[in-house]
Amino acid sequence: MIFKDKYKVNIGLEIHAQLNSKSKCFSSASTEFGKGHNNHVTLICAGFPGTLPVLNAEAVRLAIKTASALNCNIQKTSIFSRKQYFYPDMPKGYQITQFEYPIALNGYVDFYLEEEKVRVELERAHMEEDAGKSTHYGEYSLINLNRAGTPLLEIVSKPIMTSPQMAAGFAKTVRQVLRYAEVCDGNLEQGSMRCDCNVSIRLKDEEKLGTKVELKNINSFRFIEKAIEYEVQRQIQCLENGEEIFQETRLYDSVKNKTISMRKKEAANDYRYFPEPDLMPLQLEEEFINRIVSELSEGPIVRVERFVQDFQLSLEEALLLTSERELSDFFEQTILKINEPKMVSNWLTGEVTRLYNESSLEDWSKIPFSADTFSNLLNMINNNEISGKIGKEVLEEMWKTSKTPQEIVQEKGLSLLSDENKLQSIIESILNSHQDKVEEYRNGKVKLYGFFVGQVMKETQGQASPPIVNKILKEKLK
Amino acid sequence: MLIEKSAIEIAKEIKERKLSALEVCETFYNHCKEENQKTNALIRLDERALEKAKLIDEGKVTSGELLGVPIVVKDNFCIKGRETSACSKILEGFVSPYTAHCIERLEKQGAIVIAQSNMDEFAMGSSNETSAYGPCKNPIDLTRVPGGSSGGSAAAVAQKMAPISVGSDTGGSIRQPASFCGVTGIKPTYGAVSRYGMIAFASSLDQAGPLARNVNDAALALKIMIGKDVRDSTNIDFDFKSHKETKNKKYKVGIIKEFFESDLQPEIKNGLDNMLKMFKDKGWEVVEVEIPHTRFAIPVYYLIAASEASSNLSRYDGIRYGLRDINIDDGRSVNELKEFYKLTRSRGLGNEVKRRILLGTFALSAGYYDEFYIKACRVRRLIFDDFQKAFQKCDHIVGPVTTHTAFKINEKNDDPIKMYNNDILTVPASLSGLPCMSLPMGKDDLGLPFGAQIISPQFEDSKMIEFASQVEQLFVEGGQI
Amino acid sequence: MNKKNNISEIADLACLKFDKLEQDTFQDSFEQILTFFEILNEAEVNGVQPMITPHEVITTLRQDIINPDISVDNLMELAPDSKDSLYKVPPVV
Ligand SMILES: [Mg+2]
Ligand SMILES: [Zn+2]
Repeated sequence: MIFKDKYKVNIGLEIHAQLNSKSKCFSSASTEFGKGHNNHVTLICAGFPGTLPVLNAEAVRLAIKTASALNCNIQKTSIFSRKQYFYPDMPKGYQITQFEYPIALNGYVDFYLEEEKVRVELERAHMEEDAGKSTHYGEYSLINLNRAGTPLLEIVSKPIMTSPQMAAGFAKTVRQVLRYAEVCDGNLEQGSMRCDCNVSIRLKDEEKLGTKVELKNINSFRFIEKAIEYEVQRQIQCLENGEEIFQETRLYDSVKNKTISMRKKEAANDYRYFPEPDLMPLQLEEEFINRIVSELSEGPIVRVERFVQDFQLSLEEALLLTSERELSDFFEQTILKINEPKMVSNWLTGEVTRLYNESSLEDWSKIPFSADTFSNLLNMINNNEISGKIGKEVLEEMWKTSKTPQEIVQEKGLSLLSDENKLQSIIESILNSHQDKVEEYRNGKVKLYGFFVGQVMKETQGQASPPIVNKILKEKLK
Repeated sequence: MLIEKSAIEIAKEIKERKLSALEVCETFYNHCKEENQKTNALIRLDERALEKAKLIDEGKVTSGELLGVPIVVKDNFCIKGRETSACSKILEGFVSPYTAHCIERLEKQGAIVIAQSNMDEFAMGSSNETSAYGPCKNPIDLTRVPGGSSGGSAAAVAQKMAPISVGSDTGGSIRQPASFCGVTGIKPTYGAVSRYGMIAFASSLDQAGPLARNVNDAALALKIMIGKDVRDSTNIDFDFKSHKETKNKKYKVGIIKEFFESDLQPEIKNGLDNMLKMFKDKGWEVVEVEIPHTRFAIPVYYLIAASEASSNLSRYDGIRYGLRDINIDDGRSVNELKEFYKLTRSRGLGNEVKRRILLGTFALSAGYYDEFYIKACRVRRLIFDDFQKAFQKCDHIVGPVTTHTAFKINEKNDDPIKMYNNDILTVPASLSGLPCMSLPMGKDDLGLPFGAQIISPQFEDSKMIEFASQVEQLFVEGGQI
Repeated sequence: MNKKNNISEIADLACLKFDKLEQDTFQDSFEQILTFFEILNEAEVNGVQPMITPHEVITTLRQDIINPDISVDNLMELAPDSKDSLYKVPPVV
């Protein structure tokens, strides 16, 4: 990249996570996704005259849970404000959001970036309501309020990230934390998690942050990287050309891999925040907060480190295993049955992950066999009932049919040939018909050993038990 | 005569089958029709009332403390299946899909809504002149205003269109028209009556309350209207005990120095002096209290109310309900979003409403927020604290409701400051969320009524009513009203 | 207290518009009102917490229950313009 050494980059992320309560933040409308148009709309969602908001207790619980999973300080008093602007997807003419006094302050997220542990600090996390959705048809737009009022937690990082990779890693980790805490499915494409990136650049020796540009409309982790990458280049180009960088919002166009100016943040964008007089301050009892925090299970980074420690896995393996909570849960359930962490990890991150990726399963909890059944398969391999190669075949069959490995091996006759007498005679006849090779072997061409094994496997269609074959061959070839 | 009867009498006689509910309803309904031609107090009659009355006569509805009692409801309370407009053009044609909580509670006790009453647009006004339905006139003198914003509700009760009406009070909107029309009106403690279904003007000030021709009727209506509603987060779980007259309580009555020092019409001053004399004769103690921050009350009130209103009225945008007026010349309509908003809002909202939206938008805007809105909220606390101190010295506070009796229609129309100053005696209690009421106290030389204001400590609504009952008794005995 | 010289900027924020005559009238009354409000300068408010609501009751929270109160048909009936059960507005981009 040109001129890259001349500048420092500062990236901050604002992540909106939909909290998965059944009903909306301030109304009793359902939060279900994708039902008929305006079907999940109550009088409150549509801003009818005389209606008033009432805060959903579950949204509060989920917000506290999320914020503490992000290591934030939960505030005993937080206050909702009105953020005012006219937009058709915002029925009241204001969004109810926490402004001066958010529910959570500070916090941090730890993660591994290229095997190195980094920490990104958070500024705050606050509760707010989502807007509706508008669809554009040239001459007019159509408004669906199903999403309007869905509870959100907006997670705001400090503007301290220095590379697009770091920003993407941070976003991925936040998603992982949300999923571990079971507060949000973190689906970027469907918009249950949305990332806005604030990007600014400055000269290497400049103290003050540069003018920040907000990037919106980024719906994959890969695009976070690409959008920031593009934007940094654009800003560098601007400065190099002696142009000014405007404080503005830009949309990322993933097809053209470009950011496009949406609107300039001028004086006209005066949100006139003031405390929402229809809601009292949110007062939380310490005991209530503690109870929610205590329900929180282990987060991803803790789990990674525990896996490395307790199971002697490599960091890379541990990271792969913990990428999804359900996968790491499956791993732990499996090693309770078969205490071979390395083997279990290899199988899970290898063959099983391949099958999972080829499938269209929503998440790991939906895989078609239990940890128990899976451990049976691994045990059969370990006990030389089947070979590793056959094991892969059996696994695929298990995935397709949900049958037990025993059933599959039996039905298909895949169990290993370990009858020594039978193998003895097979091997004898093979050696007899390859006298020349036997001679060469005995004269020192030990590489030929593999050839004999191959012949045995060919003769037995791969079912010969390798240790027994080895034992007999070694003896006969002496 | 039937229309002279109190609500309590009517309900009792209907329950005892001495009166037919339909007869009651028809009588009031017809009286409404006739009387309304004089004052324009009502903007919509509800013909469904007669059907509801029949149900009572047929024995299908048999209980309720207001069984068969016709009531008039201010047009800012949503009523299911009825147009509800807060007397604004911008809500033209809006048929509410639900009923306000406090109206529902009254209906559950057998009350029958027979009409919706005129008001200042979105309750912004002190004269009922800003209504999109034209002004309401004062029934005592048709050249004068009935007060506002609950002008229609006050006039309707004065005209005996119903024994009880429902109003709302943000800065005096029940008390001032009650005073101008010679009826009793109560604004309860902020948070006592659920605001759910009452079209918002200023959220931290708005309270619904009843108007009636006597304290007992008003007290009964209020008792029914009060009740915990989970749909209003500012609603208090309120323990309202209906008042019982405790004889011989020696009250300590406070009078606010600043109120008595204001420029009062001589007859009002006299009325107050008489009242205080009666108190002393009864052995009650009268003490002077101070609300030193009274002089800031009008700017504080108008800044806070306008700020909240500017926000509360943003929802009127012509998208989901009500008026959409976007036609420009030769049959075309505007197709640019900002202009779309501006056209509907500018055509649908009246001048006083616009003035307050501008004021509120300004007070909340960047660079002015601290200096105007927040400053006003700070002074609001000072006024609240003044009252807290005052109530250490007395049980209740009495004083005038307004400095003068009803003024002429159009008299203050061109001068917003004059109009705003009219509320000087009512807004301090509103800002402090205190229960307060207006009780007819006398008439001036022209025969125009004026009321006494009672202000009580927060949450002591039932004690206020108990006290008011005794004061009412004194007025009756003294031949004052 | 300083004043905004022109109400047109405020009107724009509030999505209101005025013709020239209205503009002047509103401008006048607006300035009068602000002048009248200057009395607030005399109030001593150091250290006073702003009062937003005149009582401080405990937070009311709602249980997480779904409870619809209006049908989409009724919503559309009330809407000035709609298409396919969606609210119709001028283009928003
Ligand atoms: Mg933000
Ligand atoms: Zn946000």
